[in-house]
Amino acid sequence: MTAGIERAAPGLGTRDLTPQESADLVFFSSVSENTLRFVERLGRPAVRIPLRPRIEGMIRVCRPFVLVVPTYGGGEQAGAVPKQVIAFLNDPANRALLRGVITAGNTNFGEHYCLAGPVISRKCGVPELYRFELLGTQRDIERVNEGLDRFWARTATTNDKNNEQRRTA
Amino acid sequence: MTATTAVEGSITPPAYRHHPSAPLRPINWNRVSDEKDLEIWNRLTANFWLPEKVPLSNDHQAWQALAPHERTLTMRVFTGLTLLDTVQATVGEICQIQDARTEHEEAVYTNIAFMQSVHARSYSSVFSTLTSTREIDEAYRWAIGNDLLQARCKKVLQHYYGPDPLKRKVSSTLLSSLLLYAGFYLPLHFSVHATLTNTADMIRLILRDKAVHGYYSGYKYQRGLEAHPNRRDEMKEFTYTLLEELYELELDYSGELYEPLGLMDDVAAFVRYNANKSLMNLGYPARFTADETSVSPEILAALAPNADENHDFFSGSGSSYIIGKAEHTSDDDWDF
Repeated sequence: MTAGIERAAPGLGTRDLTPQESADLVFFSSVSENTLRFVERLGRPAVRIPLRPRIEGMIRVCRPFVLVVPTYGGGEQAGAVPKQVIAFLNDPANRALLRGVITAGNTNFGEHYCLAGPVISRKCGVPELYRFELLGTQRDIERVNEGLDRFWARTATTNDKNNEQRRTA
Repeated sequence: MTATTAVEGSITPPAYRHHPSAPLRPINWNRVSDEKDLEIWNRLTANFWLPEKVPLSNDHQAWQALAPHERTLTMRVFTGLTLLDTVQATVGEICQIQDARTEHEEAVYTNIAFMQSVHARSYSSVFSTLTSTREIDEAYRWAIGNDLLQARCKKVLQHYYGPDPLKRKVSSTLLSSLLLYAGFYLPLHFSVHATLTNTADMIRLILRDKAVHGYYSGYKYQRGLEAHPNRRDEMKEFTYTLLEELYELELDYSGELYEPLGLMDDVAAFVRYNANKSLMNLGYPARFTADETSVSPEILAALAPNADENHDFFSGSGSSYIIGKAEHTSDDDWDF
């Protein structure tokens, strides 16, 4: 029951998402479903990381995405990132497509507020894009929606430029 | 209601009251039906602390340097917090045991109740370290005689002793996530001015615990509400009404305390900010707008040093964050 970190088992119980399924927003939400409600209010297509990977299997995405995660615990760095998220990011294919992270937390945890954000950001070399508390407020929803639009537009421009450079090179 | 387990027809001890002839079952942590129970138990035990470990005596000089009216204010604020935590330890958490949906939930409340007693005792540690018996007795007389403080406590007590499990949960969540915060404001304010910093550190430990307590009651409330979908509207109405009544009491109570220091506007914003969080713990949308809850940045930084708006990287020029260097990790050492 109290197993440690679940290791990703690529190919074993892992389902490849189709390009249609593989949304540019991936999130994890525990049974309290706080993060789920935040993501639902964003009104954007999103994929949920399975709550019970051993039973439901893990997923493998095929498009660049921003990750939304809650922070666990109220203390140490270990355990700040939900173990299902670790299992998901343990798959190099998923990790390679991660572009940024948005974190939920509670300022009551002081210096550990939204700790999962910097942990994932540092580990994967992607920017931490936003932090919000609990279910998020209306202002959080607006900022994240506008922010994601700009973020993906900017990414698209950069990609176009890179492609152009490649063509002209 | 308790979870069914391998032993059909057995009950947990709190159910003896209604089913005295049923066989009793010991708590079985080998069969956990709601994973949140174990997760919260582990968090609570990992966060355990005692006031004896906080070097409060290092605040002695700072205490002596406070103006007399600041010392009186501190004692009153902390006596008020002591009363709320006494209510929560001896009634608020204990009364939820009878409504537990799993046997592990019963155990979690005993843990939380004990921790609330630690909190109630921790304010006394500040008193006995920094002040005299005469001053302490005076503050307690003030607490007993303060109608607003009494009303705040009795507003939730009436539901703790009432017939409705869901109303108990709402009241308990509002106490843990809303009622205490007008009091917590003062040590945060002092720490901004680099005074009573050890006391503030102790309050931060309490804040960390309260977040888990409020989250858990709120989570169990939502599970309970799922079992009574016909009560959705009624309970939402109840929650917002109770919140409104408590909010008014918070403003009146804090006004008396903080207005002389000119802090009341920011205290009110802090109360509204936490009122929103208490609603979110219960699964409800925020009641107050972002403008109404904008606490001064110094207080927010005293609460969580990383909570300022610099963490909205979206709205920045793009230079406000530094992309961490990608570490070379093999899948084996992928251990956050």
